[in-house]
Amino acid sequence: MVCVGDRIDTDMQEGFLRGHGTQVLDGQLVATECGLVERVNKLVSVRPLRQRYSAALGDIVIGRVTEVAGKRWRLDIGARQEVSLQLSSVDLPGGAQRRRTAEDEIKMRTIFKEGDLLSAEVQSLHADGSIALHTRSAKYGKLTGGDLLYVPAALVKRQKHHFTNLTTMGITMILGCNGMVWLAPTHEGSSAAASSTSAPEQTAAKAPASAAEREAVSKAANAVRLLASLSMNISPASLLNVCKVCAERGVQAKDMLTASFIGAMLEEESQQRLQTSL
Amino acid sequence: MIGSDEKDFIRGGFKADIRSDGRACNDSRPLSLSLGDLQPCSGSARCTLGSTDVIVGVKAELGAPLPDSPDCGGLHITVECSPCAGPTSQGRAGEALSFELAKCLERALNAHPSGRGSALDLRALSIVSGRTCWVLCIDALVLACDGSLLDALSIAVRAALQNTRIPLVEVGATEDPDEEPELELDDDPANAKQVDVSRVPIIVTVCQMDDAFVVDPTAREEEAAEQACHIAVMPTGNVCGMFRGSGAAVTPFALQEMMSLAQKRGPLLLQAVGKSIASAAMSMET
Repeated sequence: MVCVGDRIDTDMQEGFLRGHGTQVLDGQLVATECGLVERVNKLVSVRPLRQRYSAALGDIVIGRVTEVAGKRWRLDIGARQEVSLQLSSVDLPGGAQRRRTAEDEIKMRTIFKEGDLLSAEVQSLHADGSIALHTRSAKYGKLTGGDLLYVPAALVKRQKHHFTNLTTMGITMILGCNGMVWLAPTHEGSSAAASSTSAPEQTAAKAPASAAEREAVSKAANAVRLLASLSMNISPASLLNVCKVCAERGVQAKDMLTASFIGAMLEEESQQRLQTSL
Repeated sequence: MIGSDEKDFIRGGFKADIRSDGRACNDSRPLSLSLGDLQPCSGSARCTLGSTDVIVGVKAELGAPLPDSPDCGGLHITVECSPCAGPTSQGRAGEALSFELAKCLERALNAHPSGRGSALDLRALSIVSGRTCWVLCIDALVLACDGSLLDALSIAVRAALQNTRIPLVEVGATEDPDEEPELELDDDPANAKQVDVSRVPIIVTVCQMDDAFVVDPTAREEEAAEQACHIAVMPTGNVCGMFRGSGAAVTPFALQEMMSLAQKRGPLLLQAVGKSIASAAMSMET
């Protein structure tokens, strides 16, 4: 672990290659970023602690539409470069194999408009660094009736299921690999991404969240915020753990971010880790 | 940027009295204060309100009073928004926001240029009438911005002023009244005098959405609400200033409601600030 200006030890190596986040000053290798030192053969680089999201193929991400362009939407997913969702990689009503016509292009705003949130999968990474997404599955699509949280992307590890139904809390959670987390109350008969693009009329019919549902969402949201503030991994298991400790101590959702509960949570976590290590 | 669906969800939360982080409409986020972080300053305070984070330094400098108020000290307020505080404070937008925040704070603190009726007694800062006085430079830096910036800034300014120690100055006697008197600064911190903060206001941000009124909004909530008012409240509960953010027009009824809410909340917030200052002072001693 190094900070900006720290000397990176290269005594063991005869010759070294200067990698990302480093600089040679007076023959010595110095870090220009805070982060972890990575050594691959002779290459020494620093992986920064906080960086923009770097996409990988097949990642599930949450993005916000920033622009409706010709035959595609531009999205903000917190990556370094442009992200686009082609009209041809969206499921349209009337069969997946249908040709995209000019009429479809005109009606693009009825599917996703500026400011909309949607879940999608990374389809391809181009050589210039731009990212293409797709929503070709019923589980992807527009997100409505819930709350969005931003956490550092590094805290969301790639896992088997990014769409989770927390049945005990009645909440659907989508963990975007880009550090956006979506929380919404689970509705009867609806899939994780509550509305697919093929059925936009469903979203309008959905009832607004009740007080109990809101309470549950805010509890889960605060649990995610708490985990993020402690730089702990965010997964369904860690979230439920926070909620369990919260319920044991009878802490209300609004008091979850107070210093006293954060202290209690840390205590509990350290005890759990001690037990597992024994 | 925030989508219309999210806005609807947040607005629904206002109506149901359960906000995104589980608070009711008139609950505020956890507040923490630390004093004296900046060593070179005469007084400083850092205030975090939820994830909004500001730091304020007060420097007392010797200067000349303005010609039209020879018996008053000076007051300079600057606010700077760190570019990493949030998307609203990057580039030119940050400059405009900084200027707006500084103006709001200045107007809340300094009601009248003559020093009369202002929150700080500027006459106490005078050393030699018309010649020398203390000038308080209040510099604020916004480190992280998540709504209710003016609330956090005003709390930090108040705490920093309370933390400020102004050295005692002895004015040497001169025979000729036109001659520059000799000033002797007493470096002993025990002899330093404090600033009277008993009238310094704090600013309460109130957001309105239909008939729901929300205090201490986060950045997302500020965006989702119809409009926001920043109301400066004295420790006594009297309103001494009001600033409007962007948004729709305010109805007289809503304005009344917002003011009475701010009047109720101001003294409560001050109590919390007082507690935080006391605990911060305790941790400084130990």
